[in-house]
Amino acid sequence: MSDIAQASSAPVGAVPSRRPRLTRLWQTKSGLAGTIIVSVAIILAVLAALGLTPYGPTAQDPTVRFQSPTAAYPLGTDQFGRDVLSRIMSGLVSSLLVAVSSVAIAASIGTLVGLVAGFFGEWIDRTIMRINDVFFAFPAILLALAIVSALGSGWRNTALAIGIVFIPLFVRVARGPVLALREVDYIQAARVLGFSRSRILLRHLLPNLGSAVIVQVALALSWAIITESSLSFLGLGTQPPMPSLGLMVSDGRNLVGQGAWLLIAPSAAIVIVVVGLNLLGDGLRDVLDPKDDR
Amino acid sequence: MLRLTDVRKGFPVRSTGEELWAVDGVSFEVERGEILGIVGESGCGKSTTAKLIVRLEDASSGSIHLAGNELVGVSDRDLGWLRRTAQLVFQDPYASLNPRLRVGAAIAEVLRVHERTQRGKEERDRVNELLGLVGLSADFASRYPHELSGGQRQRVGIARALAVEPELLVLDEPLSALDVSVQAEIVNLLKRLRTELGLTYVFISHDLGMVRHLCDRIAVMYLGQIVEIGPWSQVADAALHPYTQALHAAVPLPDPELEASRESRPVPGELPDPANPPPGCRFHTRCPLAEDVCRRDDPPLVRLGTDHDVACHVVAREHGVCTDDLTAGGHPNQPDDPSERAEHP
Repeated sequence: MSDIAQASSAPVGAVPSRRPRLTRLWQTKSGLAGTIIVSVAIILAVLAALGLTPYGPTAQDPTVRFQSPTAAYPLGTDQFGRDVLSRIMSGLVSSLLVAVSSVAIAASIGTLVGLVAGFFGEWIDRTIMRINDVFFAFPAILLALAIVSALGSGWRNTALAIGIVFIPLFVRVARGPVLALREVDYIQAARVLGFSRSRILLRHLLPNLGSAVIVQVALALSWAIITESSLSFLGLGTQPPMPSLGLMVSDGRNLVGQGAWLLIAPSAAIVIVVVGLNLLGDGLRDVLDPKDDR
Repeated sequence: MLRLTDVRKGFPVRSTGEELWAVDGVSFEVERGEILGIVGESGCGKSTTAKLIVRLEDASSGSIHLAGNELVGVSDRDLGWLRRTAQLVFQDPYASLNPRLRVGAAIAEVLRVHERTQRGKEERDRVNELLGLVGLSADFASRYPHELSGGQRQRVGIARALAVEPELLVLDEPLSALDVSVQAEIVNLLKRLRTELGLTYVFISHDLGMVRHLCDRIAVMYLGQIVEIGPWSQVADAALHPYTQALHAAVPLPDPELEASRESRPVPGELPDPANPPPGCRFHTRCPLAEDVCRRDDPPLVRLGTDHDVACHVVAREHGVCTDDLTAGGHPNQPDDPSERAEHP
């Protein structure tokens, strides 16, 4: 985020109105709430990844099957006596892992493709955008299902599938500002000064897409988590015994008679993380509004 | 140095499918070291002319010779020499600098692309030298554009253009976004740079008053065509074309009493639709001198004084030049028959 560096390294007093952007993010309600929720989710996931869950996520204890939430098991236990909280924490790891890798794929490829489409225009733009429309026409989950079926299941293929499905989103998001920026004087100046196309694209256009893409990343992460959970729910995402929120919802659905918390807890975890990412996206959009980009 | 011959530039009009001729048969020459001013209302094609000279747009037809090389129809790849010969200074200093680049980095980038200096100390020295050339101190190198005033930004814009060591500077209304006091500073800067660096300028403006302080020759454009061109003293003080005279009348006088007593002669009417220009002389719809011939024939540019050309039937006749022979034969620079244009899309 070059803007943070820009604001803080400027000479003191030169730009009194500019505050570091992260501080401004926390001054919006949605930005603050989103940051807190997402941070908690990340901390829980990191703890789980380090093996610091209250119980082993796959450790079975037949003596404590179908426990309601208690002090020892804050979110109860499942049909094998496994701690639901520990499993949710581990499930967050795979959800976030898949979401982050898929959005990284989609954002990097999609932004570059959108940049090229918007900058070169004419038939290049038309071809790319028509292909994009074809991808858009498929429901995301259907396309992801098809790709996973073709590639096989497992978290890497899930991430790749979701990444491919989300590429068109970023193509759209990047292309719009490029169309506007292409006519801006400083891009025209770069052309008159004889800068190469790749220099104009990468050094002058790409950095100015930052805010639009960052907002989209936050939103796409939440959609990726939903898609990953859906795929796992359908048995095509993360495979057991690796814990996954979608798998837990799937299992919990069958056992809802023995323990409602088995369904409610993982579902709530998905909802909270998704809402958190959406709030963060909203907050980022308010803070990174291009109107005060100068 | 620069020669335009019958240059035309059309833009497709989406609704009608016809072409809008933003620049329609413009010819002029600029000598090395000279300053040519181009004035006219918004939409007269003066900014398009600027873009054609630096090849932000390619002309539809005609020829543009710069330093002995042809520009029109040449591929972008073969224009490296142009980028080192001609540079453009933009109108809006707030939009012409990348907001994310420090001033020093923005200038150094030009030096690197054109390999004008070695990286490191030589580059830093040259950046400081360029800043000094445009009257800015070396500590501006570490500033961001948003920390600068409009005049300072315009100076940075000029410094960047000078970084490639061009021979010709095209200035597209470089003053119109600036305060009057700052305008004068930039005009003085441009005068000094011309003397120090031996530059040639094409200076585009809508302000005849500002142009006369800077330019050696002035061209007046109306609806894509040049209506009068000549030495500044003649165009500014002894204008012949009725449109130029009307532009003069629109420049306010510094003395309020004189201004109040002056006979007001605004140009009546609106600028006609450039996509559908009137037949004959394009100015006849607003011209106080218009006659039948003006509604029928497009007047050619004819020489009525020392190096002083005017496109007007009435004024030419008063000077004893008959424009009929020229239009009947079809002046090469002034296609006067609309049907003839349709054949050259």
